[in-house]
Amino acid sequence: MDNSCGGLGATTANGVTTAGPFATTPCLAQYRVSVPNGNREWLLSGRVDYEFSDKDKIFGRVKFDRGSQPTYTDPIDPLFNIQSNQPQNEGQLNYTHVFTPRVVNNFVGSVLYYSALFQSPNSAAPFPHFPLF
Amino acid sequence: MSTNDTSLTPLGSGSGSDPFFALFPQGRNVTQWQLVDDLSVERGKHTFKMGVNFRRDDVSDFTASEGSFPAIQSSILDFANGSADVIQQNFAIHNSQPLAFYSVGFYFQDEFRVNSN
Repeated sequence: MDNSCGGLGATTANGVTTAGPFATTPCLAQYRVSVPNGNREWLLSGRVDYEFSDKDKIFGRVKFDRGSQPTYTDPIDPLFNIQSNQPQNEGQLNYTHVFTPRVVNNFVGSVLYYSALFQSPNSAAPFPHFPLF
Repeated sequence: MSTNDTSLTPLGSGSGSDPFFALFPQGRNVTQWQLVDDLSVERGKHTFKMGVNFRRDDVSDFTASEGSFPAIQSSILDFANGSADVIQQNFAIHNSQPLAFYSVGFYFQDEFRVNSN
């Protein structure tokens, strides 16, 4: 380590130089960076209505969501990014039955599945970059 | 600020992993299904409405997998000297845990029409 920073600063027993009042070379530096990332996702939805009769009506709808959403963007290396991969799937069936004009029943059945896992796009790739592994 | 200020504990200061990165993977996979039924009946001046709503969630929760990547913390001084202060890593037997819950509700109401106005 170069200890020439921090003019007239004190050097500790560990050999680390602190910043002095006439420092021209700072001992510490800050790092600012702006890195790109983006959301890549598409949605597809559909609905079908059907009338069996004046007393029986039904419709079904579906929705599909695919893609990946950025959770964390690493300023050093995209290997350390975190993202959330879809899917999300939805389905619904709606059935209306008219017993009489004064007695009506409505039934709705629906199913939803979604994955909300936040993880590295490639969990094995970052490991070789650390001295522990 | 001096470099021997040991009160500072920057997380993931270069020599080790990024602790934020070590918080992952996390999250859940969820399957939810729902049944709803509503019935409306008119009798004279009364309109009765009743129904039921049932919902169930089956969840695979990945909280246990958090911290499977080692997080290394070091003060600036120890970082400069090439040593780490704390290494933390979790070793989950199972990365995901099953969780299931449901909710059910019923209602009944009566609307009474006093007169045509």
